[in-house]
Amino acid sequence: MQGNLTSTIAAVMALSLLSSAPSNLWSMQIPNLEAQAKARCGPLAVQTILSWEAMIAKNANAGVQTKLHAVNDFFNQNIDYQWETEDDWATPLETFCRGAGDCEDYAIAKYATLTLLGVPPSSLRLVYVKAKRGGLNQAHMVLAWYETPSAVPQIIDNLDYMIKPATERGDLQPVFSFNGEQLWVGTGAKATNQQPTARLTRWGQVVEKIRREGFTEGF
Amino acid sequence: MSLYRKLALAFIGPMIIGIFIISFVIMGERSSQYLEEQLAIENLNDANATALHLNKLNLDGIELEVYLSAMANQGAYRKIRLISPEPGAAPIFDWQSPGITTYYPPVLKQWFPIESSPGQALLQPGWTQQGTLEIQRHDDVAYDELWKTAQNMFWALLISVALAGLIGSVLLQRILAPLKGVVAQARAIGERRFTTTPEPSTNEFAEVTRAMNELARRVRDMLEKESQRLSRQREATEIEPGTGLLLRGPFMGRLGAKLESEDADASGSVALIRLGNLARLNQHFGRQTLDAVLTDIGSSIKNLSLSQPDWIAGRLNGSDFCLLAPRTAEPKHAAETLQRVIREVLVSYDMTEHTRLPGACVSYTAGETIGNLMTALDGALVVSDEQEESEVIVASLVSGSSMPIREQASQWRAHLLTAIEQKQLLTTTFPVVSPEGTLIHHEGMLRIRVDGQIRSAGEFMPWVHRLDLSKAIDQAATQLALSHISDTGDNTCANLTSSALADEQYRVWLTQFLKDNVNHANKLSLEVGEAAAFAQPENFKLLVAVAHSAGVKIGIEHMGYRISDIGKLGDLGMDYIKVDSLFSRDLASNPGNAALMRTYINIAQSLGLDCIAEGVSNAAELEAVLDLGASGVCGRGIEYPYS
Repeated sequence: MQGNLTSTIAAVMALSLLSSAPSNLWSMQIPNLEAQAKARCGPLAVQTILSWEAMIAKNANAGVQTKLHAVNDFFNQNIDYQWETEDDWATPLETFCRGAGDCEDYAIAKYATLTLLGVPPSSLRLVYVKAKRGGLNQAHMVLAWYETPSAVPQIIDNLDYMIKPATERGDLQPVFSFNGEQLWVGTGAKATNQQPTARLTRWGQVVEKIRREGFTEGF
Repeated sequence: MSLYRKLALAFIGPMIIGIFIISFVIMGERSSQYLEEQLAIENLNDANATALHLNKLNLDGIELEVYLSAMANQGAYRKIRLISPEPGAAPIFDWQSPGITTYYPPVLKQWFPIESSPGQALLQPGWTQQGTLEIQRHDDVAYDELWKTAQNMFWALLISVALAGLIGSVLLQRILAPLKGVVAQARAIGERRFTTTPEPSTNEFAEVTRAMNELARRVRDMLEKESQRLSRQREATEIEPGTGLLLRGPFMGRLGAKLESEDADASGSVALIRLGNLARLNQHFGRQTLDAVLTDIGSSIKNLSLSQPDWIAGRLNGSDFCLLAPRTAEPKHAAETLQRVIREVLVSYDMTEHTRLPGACVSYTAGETIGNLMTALDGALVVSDEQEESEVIVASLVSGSSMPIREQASQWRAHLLTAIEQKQLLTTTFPVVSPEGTLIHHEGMLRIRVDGQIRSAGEFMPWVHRLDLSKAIDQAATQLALSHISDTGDNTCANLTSSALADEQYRVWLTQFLKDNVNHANKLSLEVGEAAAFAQPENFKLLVAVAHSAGVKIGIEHMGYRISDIGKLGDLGMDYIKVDSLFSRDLASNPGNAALMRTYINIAQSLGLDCIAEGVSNAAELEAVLDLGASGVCGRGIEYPYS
């Protein structure tokens, strides 16, 4: 199965070489992810990662909408929702290992996967929202995708599995949004792990871990 | 430049500069990095907090601009921007600080750039993107801080280095303390004072000291050997073997030299004691016993010179013992001393009943002749012999002043004081020339004018000595020599009395006088007699120190009488010696004098001194002296310009 995947990725790579921007070519390879999962997590996680890689391979050249749905569905289906599992924000690999995650873990994993698939990070926002659920207000995080900067965003959520425009999500009230771009402002070549703002913020810490695990696009 | 200063420059200077530069660079780098990080964190916090707040406020365009303007104007920011979400569009709000007053040198910014990244946060009230808020705080304050820290560090470093330098220099001085001794010894050797000093504990210094001590020891050994050799030679030619006293000829030579001398020795006393009935003693006690008695008498008389080093004793013939006591105004005292010493020996051999000890004495003054003196003494001795108790008879000279001593003294005091007061002192100069005929210096002999008549030093110097007027005379002699220098431009020398050594006031006066006449001081020489120099070596060295610090030369004159003190020459530090005229006489025919002259010339050459022969009176003597290698001559036979 692994061999199949490798050849698939190789095929995709060849395709991308012909069709799309070369930067995507490399960004879709996460070397050692399986090996990392084998070392740190159980066989189940490896299974999840393999099917995740298959999903990526399959949608590498799909349209943005297809990518959004594929990624949203993949995580909503394969990851169990947990209420505020841990304090730490989890990287995609950690989420795979646990097989479960809270709203931030979903949003981060989806953000990482979409940027890996070549969706520009500038069109993606992680958004703190106040969610009304059955008369209760709760702190929640969703991923928003903007087709254009001034467009109404599509909301990618784990409470509501359907991707809907924000206008149809009356239950959500946005508070603050961010993506991976603000972390490296103005530092140019200094964008390293030594960057203090990256080290000191919670978001920065997760991003650093994600980069270490092999994700580079969008962070 | 002193060793201390060199070490300080070599170590402390580069050290402080090095430490400061290194600390400054490290501090600057670290601080700028730290400040950069802190500013970046603050920028990020500011951007996020503001964005959170603005999201909540959901302001329209004008309100947002007012909000951000207020923030920009009231806060300490370098830059506040709101970047449009549309790529490539102009910023919605763009404000840059016009700059603030700063207190740091601008170059600091180039050396340690603080590139704090601005903080960014997304502005999104509701679901619509409003833009990216970018906030950057002022970093000039950080430079001010950096500059202040650098200044503080510099002062702290300077103070600590100063403290360290202080402690270091104390330690260094302690380490180098023995060096002072080494330098002092080296300087002493440079001034021909061959002294030994204890070796310091520092190996390197000890080695130098050891070498110099070895040199000093060798010089001393050499002088001792010369002294002994000369003594032996003198014994062979001048000493009467039975008693160890001078033979008649050498004794008379010394007496003659005193009578001609230009100093206080020109007056004094001569005593004559006769051991009577020598033939009977010989018969009665045997020749061997009599020889032992004579030997004992000789050594007892020589012992007198331990307390009176100036006294000269001789055995004129078999029975006559003679004592020359320069400067002694009481001839009877000298004669009775001699008589007592001889009698004590006779008592110890129980011989007093078989012999008599008639004695005579006489005072001499300058210009007296040996013939007159001896005639007077012989006459007085006859008178003494006729008396029962062998009382010492004071002979009176035909040519001598009939005036009693006390009256003479008061008369001379008046003359001298008047002369000093009215500046009636003057000098007659005699040239001292080198073998090449160049002038070494003029030797100034003091004269005074009394009632229009010029009186020689030999006449009044004994009175100067007795009346304790030496200080004024020494000062006058020095001043006159200096005036002679300023008049002629030639080197000139002044003779000092023996009191000049003992008198600290003269040294004090001389120090100031030389300071006041610094232009001529290097042409001045000062001389003291051999007897004075050997009697007060420490004072002599003090005088040498004063003289040398002003470039004045110091000499010892009338040398040759104190052979046993030759060893002391090694550490006196004089510049030249003058051998007394007595020893310049008849060099060709008198092997004793020639040997003495040769020895002093050798010593002087070994020590690097000039040796000058005094009293050279004719061509034969001049030739002989120059053959021996004298570096200068003076005397009646010497004229300058040389002929």
